[in-house]
Amino acid sequence: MEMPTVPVYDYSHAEPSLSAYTSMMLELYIQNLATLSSAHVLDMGPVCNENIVYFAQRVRRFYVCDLFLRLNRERSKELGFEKALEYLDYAPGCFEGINLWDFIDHLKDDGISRLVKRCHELLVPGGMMSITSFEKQWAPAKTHSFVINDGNRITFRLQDHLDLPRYYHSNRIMTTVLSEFRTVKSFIYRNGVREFLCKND
Amino acid sequence: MLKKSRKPEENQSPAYDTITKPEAPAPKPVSSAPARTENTIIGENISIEGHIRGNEHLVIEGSMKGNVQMEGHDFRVGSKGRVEGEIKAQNVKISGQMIGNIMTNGKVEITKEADFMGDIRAKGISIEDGAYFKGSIELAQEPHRKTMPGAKSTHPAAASPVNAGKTETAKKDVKEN
Repeated sequence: MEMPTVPVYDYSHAEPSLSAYTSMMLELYIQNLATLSSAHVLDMGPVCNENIVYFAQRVRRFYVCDLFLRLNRERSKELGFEKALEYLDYAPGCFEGINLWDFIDHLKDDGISRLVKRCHELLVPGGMMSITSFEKQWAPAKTHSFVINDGNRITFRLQDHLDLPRYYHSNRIMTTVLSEFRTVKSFIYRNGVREFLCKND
Repeated sequence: MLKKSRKPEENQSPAYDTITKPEAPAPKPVSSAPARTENTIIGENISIEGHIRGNEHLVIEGSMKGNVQMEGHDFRVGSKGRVEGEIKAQNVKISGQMIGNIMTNGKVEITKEADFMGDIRAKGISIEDGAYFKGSIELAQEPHRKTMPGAKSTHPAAASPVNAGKTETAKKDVKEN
């Protein structure tokens, strides 16, 4: 039986300290993009200058479509997620890589299924998608950006302008929604970060 | 009762100086700002439709629909500015709304108040957290462009003990699946 999506409403515990970590997935991801000539990569936010510079220096063209901010603006409205999804109006099969960071943590199960399906359409065959998500007990109440530093070291920066609900998705649900992809590698870190690197086979 | 008082130097013609003291250096103009650093500001109550080509810095606080071409000079969209068009300038700073592509030989800066949709080609970029951005970035190719980690590197740092140590630390933090 699949676990239902549980909103992480209980913030009575102290805000977990978001300790930095070295991303193994990022290293693999970049290595894979290197094998694809003239890679076009899409990042769905939040806007983070360090990450933009990092990818723009490594790929042919780096695209940013900040769905965090769109979802934040639309969330008071009915069908807010539908509206935010409309901004992914790119042609099918036009990206070699997609960065999702922890955007899925702000969506319910049906939302991530639709988003992942859309990502599947946008990726070229062989393209890769990187997803990051928090374990339930480690999830911060506030939204942070994952900031790439030297040596693929990831630090966190509070995004005070974003006020988004957070949901927890179990590993089983993640495996189910990512079934259209082949999971190349997944990692779990001591700070509660989960990373999934998936390939569109 | 208010009176306007003339400043003494306004009564004095510089021509007298030239005649009585020919050896004196030519008087400097009162406004000595070089033309290169001047800004043209399109105020917030002004709307423009059409293209702009210029040789000085331009700031848009109002609204504009059209292309801007001013290579060698800077272009800025103020926090209340709205621009729809293609921009070619030396450096570009966006704090308002902009739809369109930017091509620069320098840097593009997008501040947190900005709402930008378009493609950017520049040598450098800076985007503040909180800015809305939908578009793409292409950084001008430079000889020292970052090498992909997948490519074999002959750089001595690649095999240095420092990097090896970092990898060890990373392995300690992670549980692979």
